[in-house]
Amino acid sequence: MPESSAPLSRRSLLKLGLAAGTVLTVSSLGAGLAGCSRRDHAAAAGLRRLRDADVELFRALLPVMLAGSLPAAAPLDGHLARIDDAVLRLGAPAQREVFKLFDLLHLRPARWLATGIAEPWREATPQQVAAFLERWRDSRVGLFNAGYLAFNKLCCTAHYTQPEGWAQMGYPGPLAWAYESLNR
Amino acid sequence: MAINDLYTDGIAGGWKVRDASTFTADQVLEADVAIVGSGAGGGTAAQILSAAGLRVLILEEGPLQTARDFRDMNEARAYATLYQEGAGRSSSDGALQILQGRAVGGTTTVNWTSSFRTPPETLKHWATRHGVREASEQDLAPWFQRMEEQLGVAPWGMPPNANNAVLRDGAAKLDWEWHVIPRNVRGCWNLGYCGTGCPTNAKQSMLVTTIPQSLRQGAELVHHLRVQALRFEGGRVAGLEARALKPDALAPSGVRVTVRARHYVLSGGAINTPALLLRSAAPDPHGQLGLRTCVHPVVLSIAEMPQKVDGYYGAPQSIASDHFQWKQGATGACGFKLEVPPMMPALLSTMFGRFGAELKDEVGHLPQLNAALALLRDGFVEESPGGRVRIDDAGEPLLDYDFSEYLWQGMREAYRRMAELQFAAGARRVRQVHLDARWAGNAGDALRHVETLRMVKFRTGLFSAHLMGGCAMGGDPKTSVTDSHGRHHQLENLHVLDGSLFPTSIGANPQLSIYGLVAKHATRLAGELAKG
Ligand SMILES: Cc1cc2nc3c(=O)[nH]c(=O)nc-3n(C[C@H](O)[C@H](O)[C@H](O)COP(=O)(O)OP(=O)(O)OC[C@H]3O[C@@H](n4cnc5c(N)ncnc54)[C@H](O)[C@@H]3O)c2cc1C
Ligand code: SF4
Repeated sequence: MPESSAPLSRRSLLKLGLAAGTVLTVSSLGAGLAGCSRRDHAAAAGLRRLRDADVELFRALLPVMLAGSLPAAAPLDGHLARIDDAVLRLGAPAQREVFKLFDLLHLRPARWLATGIAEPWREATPQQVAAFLERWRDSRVGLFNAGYLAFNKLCCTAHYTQPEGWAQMGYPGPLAWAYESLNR
Repeated sequence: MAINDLYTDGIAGGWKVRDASTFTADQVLEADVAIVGSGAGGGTAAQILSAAGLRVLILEEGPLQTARDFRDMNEARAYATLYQEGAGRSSSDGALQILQGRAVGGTTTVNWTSSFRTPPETLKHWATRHGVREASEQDLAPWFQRMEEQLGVAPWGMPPNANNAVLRDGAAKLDWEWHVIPRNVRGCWNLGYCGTGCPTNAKQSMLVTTIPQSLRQGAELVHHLRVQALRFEGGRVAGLEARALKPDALAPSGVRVTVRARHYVLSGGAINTPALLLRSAAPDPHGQLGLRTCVHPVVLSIAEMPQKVDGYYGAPQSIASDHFQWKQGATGACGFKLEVPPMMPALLSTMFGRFGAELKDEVGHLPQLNAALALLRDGFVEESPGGRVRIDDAGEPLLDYDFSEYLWQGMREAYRRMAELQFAAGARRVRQVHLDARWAGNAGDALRHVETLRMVKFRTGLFSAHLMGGCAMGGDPKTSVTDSHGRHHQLENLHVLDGSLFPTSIGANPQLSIYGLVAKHATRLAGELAKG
């Protein structure tokens, strides 16, 4: 167990649950009062499911999850579009779970408790994000492992379904002779 | 070389194939038999019922995609268009990754062609524990033979690819049982892309066999059509309510379709068939619906070989070992079948659980990697009751699946045996698909390391491509959903003909079990409908 997962004891998980519950209630109340919940849930420009806040989250996660495999300052738009499409295709129950996870990480107190990052995602440093990923991956709390794996899968498939990713893996693509023969 | 996709010519020649995403008005469809789903069970049933002169209507929520669409041999395209939930389906808590098909041909359009008869031990267990009648090895033999002949099932004649050769060589070294896998292929190019849809029509999936044959026999296929609910009247099914989907096969287009038939067949596969019945509030006096959903939980072990493996090329599965399957009989410690998966890059990239530089390093060895997998035989003992399908408020399916100590022990044993196997075949290093795993450089180290793995959900990489049960057949209505012939215990004009019939898992890849059993049940049903 690395040091960083120590704060995530059963007690802090309880606290996290409480905090998340409170924050969710407050935020839905707020949205109800403001009468603009739709707006908050609208997809980001050009995407069908991910909202602006989710995009910000993945802009912080992708360069760390795929560190060394993404060129510096890569635009990430293709990766975001593929993650968006993957979420879109999930059944309603799985989408609900995914958005619960995203929402938790958008709420400052919950994010701080769960990830140790108080700053908004766009200000989080790669070191902070890496520490959070490690903490979730190595945690004894299954829920955090689950969250880590969900992010890992979304980021990996967004990258390794693409020719750039294949080249990094040493996968040459479909057999050339067959490809040519079939696509003539 | 242009491959004939069958459907272009067929449709031009008068096959009745309709795309519900193009429907602009609500409509009513009528038939003698309406079949929900076009996979292993639905395709087989459609061919047999239409051959008997019945007017058959096949309803499929997925798209019609053919060899023409499969020429790119591309994972991203296949996951998005041919798999349930874009290949992102999982158990309700996310711990078990589920691969299932969703297209004309169902899961057979993307499966890996391994074709095994139901093991006799499994059939005996069904007879003694679940009161299943007329399904002995002898009873089923002619039906297996018939389907094997139609689908070109034969032991793979070419040498195994290097990924499968690891399994053969390791098993041979250790003096374990191993065998060449029979595959349902004709003129296979040995490419390796069965999982993204066969681009050559070599795979004898339902897409190129029973469905075209049904269409030739006058059956009608409507795709992009999701059956939402069954309607009941006087203890019978009175109709189906279906929703046309938009061209991306996701959201409903708003067009509603009503289906009326004399008889109804559910072939939506495990998870979806029980969910459809639950959503329809079908009679279920003993609360059996959705129970005993088995998954053949899969755990994997990755080896780095000294030689190039190129495990993405070549027939994906050609060698298997049953050495640990029946060691303690059907109800002893959990048995498992050993096989390998095709080493598709994106799928493999998610197996390491690493990120950043570590991930980059792990995946960079792909050309030299072998993976072994163990399919655990669930559902045979009380400690392994299988999972339960339920629905949410909107009627969407959820699978709850828990792992008992019995299964965790089976998995740990599988990790040990796979490591032994891979080192015996010459592996340089081996690691499990598990969040606690690290590479081990020799068998002794690997075995010690396996003891330290925490066998719990999420840390253990858990997969399923074999969904079975949930509408179990059996002699006693108190413990099953259909009778031994697939007829619903409470609804006389309803059959379930797909993998959800199985009262336990199979203990081998299930497609041929579905073909054989459904061929038998559908032939009996055709006889009854011809009389009545
Ligand atoms: C990647 C992969 C590899 C595999 N490899 C092998 C193998 O090598 N050998 C083997 O024996 N087995 C293999 N299998 C498993 C095997 O293919 C399946 O067990 C089998 O196809 C299941 O048959 P089925 O009839 O129960 O359902 P399916 O074949 O899944 O068909 C069900 C169909 O019904 C449709 N449907 C569901 N609900 C509705 C609804 N409400 N309205 C309309 N349509 C609906 C679905 O979209 C689907 O197309 C593999 C599976 C996968 C995912
Ligand atoms: S290996 Fe054979 S059956 Fe599989 S996709 Fe290639 S040609 Fe088709």
